Amino acid sequence: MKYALFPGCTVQADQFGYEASAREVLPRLGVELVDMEGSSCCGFPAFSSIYPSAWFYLSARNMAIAESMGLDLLPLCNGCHLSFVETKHHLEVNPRLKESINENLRREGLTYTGDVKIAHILEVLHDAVGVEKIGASVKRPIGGLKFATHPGCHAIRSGGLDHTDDPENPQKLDDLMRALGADVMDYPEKTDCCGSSLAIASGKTTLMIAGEKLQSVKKLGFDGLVTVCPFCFKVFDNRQRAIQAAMGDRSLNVPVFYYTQLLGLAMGLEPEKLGLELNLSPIDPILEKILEG
Amino acid sequence: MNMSAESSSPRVGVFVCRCGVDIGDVIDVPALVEYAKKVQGVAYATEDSFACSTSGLEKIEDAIKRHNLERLVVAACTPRTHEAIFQSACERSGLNKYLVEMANIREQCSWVHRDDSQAATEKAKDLVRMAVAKARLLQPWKEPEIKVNPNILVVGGGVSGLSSALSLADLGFKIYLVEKEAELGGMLKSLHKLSPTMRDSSESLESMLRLVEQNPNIEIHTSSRVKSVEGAISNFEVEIESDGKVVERFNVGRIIVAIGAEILKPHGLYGYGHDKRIIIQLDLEEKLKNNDLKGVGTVVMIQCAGSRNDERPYCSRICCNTALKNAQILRELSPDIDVYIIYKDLITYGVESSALELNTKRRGVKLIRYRDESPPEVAIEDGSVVVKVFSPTINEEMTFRADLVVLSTPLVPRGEASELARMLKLPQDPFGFFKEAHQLSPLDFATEGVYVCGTARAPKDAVESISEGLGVGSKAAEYKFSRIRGRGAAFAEINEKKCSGCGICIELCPYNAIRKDEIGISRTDSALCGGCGVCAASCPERAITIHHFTDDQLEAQLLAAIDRRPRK
Amino acid sequence: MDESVLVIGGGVAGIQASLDLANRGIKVHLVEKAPFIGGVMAQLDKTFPTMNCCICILEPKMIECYRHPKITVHTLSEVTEVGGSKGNFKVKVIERPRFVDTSRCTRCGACIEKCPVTVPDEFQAGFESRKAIYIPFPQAVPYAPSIDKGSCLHFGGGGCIVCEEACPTGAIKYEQDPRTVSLNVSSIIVATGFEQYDPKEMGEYGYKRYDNVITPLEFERLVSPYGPTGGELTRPSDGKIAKRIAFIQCVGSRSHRPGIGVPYCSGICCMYAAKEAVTIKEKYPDSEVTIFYIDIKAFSRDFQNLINKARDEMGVEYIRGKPGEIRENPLTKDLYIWYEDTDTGEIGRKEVDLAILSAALLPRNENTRLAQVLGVDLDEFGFFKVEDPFLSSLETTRDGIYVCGCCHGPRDISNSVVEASAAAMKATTGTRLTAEGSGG
Repeated sequence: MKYALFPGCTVQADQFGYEASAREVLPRLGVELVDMEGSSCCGFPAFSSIYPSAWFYLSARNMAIAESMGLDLLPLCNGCHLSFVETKHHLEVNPRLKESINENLRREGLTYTGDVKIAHILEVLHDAVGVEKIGASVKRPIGGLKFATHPGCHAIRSGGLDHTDDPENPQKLDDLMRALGADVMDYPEKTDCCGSSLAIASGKTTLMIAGEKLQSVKKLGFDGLVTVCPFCFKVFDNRQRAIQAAMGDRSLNVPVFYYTQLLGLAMGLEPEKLGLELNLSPIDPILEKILEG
Repeated sequence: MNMSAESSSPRVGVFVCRCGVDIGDVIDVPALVEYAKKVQGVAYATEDSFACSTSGLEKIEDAIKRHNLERLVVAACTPRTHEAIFQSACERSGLNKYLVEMANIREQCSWVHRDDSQAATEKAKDLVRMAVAKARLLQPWKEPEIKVNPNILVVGGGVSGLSSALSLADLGFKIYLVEKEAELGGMLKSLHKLSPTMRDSSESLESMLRLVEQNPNIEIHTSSRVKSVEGAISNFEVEIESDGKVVERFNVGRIIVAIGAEILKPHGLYGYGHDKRIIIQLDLEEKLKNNDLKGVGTVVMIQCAGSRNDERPYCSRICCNTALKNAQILRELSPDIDVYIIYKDLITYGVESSALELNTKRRGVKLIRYRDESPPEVAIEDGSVVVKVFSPTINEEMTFRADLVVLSTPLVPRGEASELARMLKLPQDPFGFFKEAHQLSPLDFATEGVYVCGTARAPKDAVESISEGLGVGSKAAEYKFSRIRGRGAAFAEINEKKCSGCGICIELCPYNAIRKDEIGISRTDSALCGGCGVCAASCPERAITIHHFTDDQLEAQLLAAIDRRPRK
Repeated sequence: MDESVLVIGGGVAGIQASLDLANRGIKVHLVEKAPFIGGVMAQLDKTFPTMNCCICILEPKMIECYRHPKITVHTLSEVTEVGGSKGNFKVKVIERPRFVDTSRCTRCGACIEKCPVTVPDEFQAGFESRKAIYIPFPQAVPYAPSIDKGSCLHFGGGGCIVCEEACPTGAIKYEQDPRTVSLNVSSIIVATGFEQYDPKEMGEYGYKRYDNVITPLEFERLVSPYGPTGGELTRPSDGKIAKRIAFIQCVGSRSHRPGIGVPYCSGICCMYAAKEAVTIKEKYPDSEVTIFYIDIKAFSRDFQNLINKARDEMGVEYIRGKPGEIRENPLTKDLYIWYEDTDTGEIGRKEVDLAILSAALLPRNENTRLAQVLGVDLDEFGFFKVEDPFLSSLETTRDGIYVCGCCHGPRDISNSVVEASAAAMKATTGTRLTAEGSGG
């Protein structure tokens, strides 16, 4: 399995932990990641809000680069993933738009055909690699810990287009966690949004939305929250103290991880390799437990 | 059919039913069976889980034969639903079907004494003892044979009556079709198009009318009404009048009432009657037929006008469909006609519902909901008709200047319904629609041989009226003696020596089964008698015996009730 | 030829049509797929709007039908071929074996007791199990066991003969073969009824994911005194009596989502929900019952009265607004329902013990096969098509074949029964009464 890796802006800006852990675990599972030359922002959420054709152009361009590499595209971010999937659909049903974009791409020597497949990290791990192989690679099982999974809206709510997982009952991330030996449990707020799309329009709302979810996670007795999207992680982890302030609840402490980080730990890798020092939520007690075995 | 030999002490068989857990969980059934064995007259007693099941009935039939039982007591549920079943068990084993007595130890015992098993069991013993005491005195009875009367009266020439008449005529019956108007057709004559096919109402009616007029078995009497009805099933004497004079007399076996209903003209409601721009759907149908919509730009329809309120809490079933249909037609006539339907609940139903709603909305008809507590208001302002309504959907009051306000009003029974109900002794519901006997027998009515179909029974559309007309046809064509309401062997017999000729029983008899003979003595027709007992209860001379509930039998039950010793 | 009529389907409509015909002296062959007659109505607890006990009012008709000298009931049977034309249809019916000789069977129940196989009991909506040899329910007509070949070890090649050994009268007959019966009938009435929509595809309501989200048929079994709980409304997750209950109307009906549900209104769900709500309130006066609806379809006699009784007398809460989602507390299995009350504009979150999804009425899956055999058309939804309900009431697209009841669209029991009589009439007009003409 070989993919053109598209980290996305958020990952490259400050979510180094995700990229680091992804680059560690995926090759070990037989997934080769190839960097893209000249890739740019996918256009979501800023351009998609105010200038759709520029958005399509940016996403199409990145897909064209992948096509020129002869590889399928693997974005690390849910937002980027849906951006590519939606752009693909729009250009398929609107050949004139596709042609006008290609006119511009040709100036760079690129062409967008639409044949590129957009993979999601959940699909790669769950469907392509498989839970069995992942389970077999586990050397340090995460036993005795219960995690709330947060697949994230853009992975599951794709409005009629191909979605990564069942929008009402997503279970892939849960299966992947079980493969690591962890406990999982369904909870009512599982498919709730992290709120980050509102961060610019109403930052406090974002914090309240994320905070309500974290409150439920805590009340139900989970040991931590796991996600696969840097937008979601940023809110739940990086902004957890701000959430506490907004909710007026300083005790709202929930350890938050990227799945690839937990996968790496389970595979026996050192925490430094997985960027865990960059997690701002209080993960240390959990980390200790995992390392002790 | 064998009749059992008259013995002074007939052998009684007692079957106690557990009714699953309904009786068995409360009453000590084995104890009851043992008790029954000791009651005088009982030759055999046993129990069953479900006496009414096919295997339970086989057991009863088998026991009757094997133990030479001459009377049957079934201690179980209510005779109202199950007496007929045990009667048939008797018949199949050669016993007269009226030699069975039921003791209701479910509705009258286990169901109401769930909290005291012991007391319930004692009471069940009393009931069984009483039933046995009566059963021993029961006499066999043979149902009289009544010949099929080939004539049927259909009152009302609308689609329901017509479909009934046609189907029965095709079976060979002679139909007297009586219609009060000068032309047949009823409500459909006044309608424009029929939903959901949008077929022309008059055209649809035409084909039916042609069939009726061509049918040699149907005798049509228009401009005629029923004046009087005497007699009973198989032998009704009917007088019809025209122009105030009696013009015909028929003898018929069955009567089908299909007089339809009328559309409410709600004077005063929403300004109806004060302005000719405020009309009802029936008026709109006429306008559409005559293409009389000049100058109409905005039409506002108001649903549930005069129905689903305190005065008439019922839904008239067809008004929403009618409004949607007419709204579509208006929009098709011209896209310049704006149509708004103000409704409470959009009552469309069945497979046609989605197409009807979608087509209406696609044609740009606007549907606005209103709440019960804040109905629309219609007023005349500056010469215009103004409709105001609060829409909870948008949380705002909406105002329309309407060229036409169309009220969707309910169907209400015709004035003559009460007269007919009295003549035929048919119960009506609180609004005047004729009421059927039972939910699972919606085409059977209190008076045997009389049926009601179509909107006279309850609001419905043309298609439903037609199938109901066919349905009562099926009932009217039944030849077997009535199986309605588990009718028992009770019938009245008048002792002519005691009768004083006062005639009270004749007035009171709900079945019209008593007449005075040539010398003034009351005589009953046992075929017509319903065995209700009202005559016997009112006779000042105590001249009337109700068979199957004779004084002897009732006395025996009473004595058995108070004397708890089994005495064997 | 003595005329006779074939009635396909032994539910309340088929039974009524058969009785109407038989009481006019016409021979009837009633073909029913299940081992018993009674159809869906036999599974229901009460009727609306009268709140009559279903099986109590149905049973006398079932028995009268089964024992009527003019009616031959073929259970475990299906129509496989229809040739000929109106007045002279040549029909082949396959009668599947019970593997029990009912003339020897005493209904002692020993075979059932000893059978080692248990499977979910479909009559009890899966809440209980039954054996491979079974009697469907205590009031079943005919009241006789039959072997479910698919679950039976003997027929699975296991060589099990436990029931045969247990039977004191030698009534078990494994060697019974299916029998093909040839019938000559003048007309055919289709009365095959409906099936309930499976709300599993509406993932937002969590049916089959959340234990305490159930369908109406499952509810009917729970409250039935002959059901798995003896009539106690206990919730599936923990057996606790459900005191806070919600009904969600129009689940699967009035749906314009591509590929989900059906667009039409199923007509009876408003009323069966009201009936079920009243049933709950009668059993548990302190319960809290909420019905989430879009429109209240109370269009027949006394329907509005029942709604008024539920709402005004018994305190059932009616909220106009179809909930978007049901969620479950994973620890307590309680349910949360998010909704908008469109009358007040308020958003709310209701916590309940049990939720009932008022599911749509769909045409039966078998309609496709049966329509092919009969040579008739189905409509766009899969119901039997009546070309012209006005001029050709209840007629299918083939002369001599008629419909009644839910097989041509959803309707309630009363209407089905009216149509059954109407179909009985249609099936025989144009033909004379038989010679047995004495009696009223």
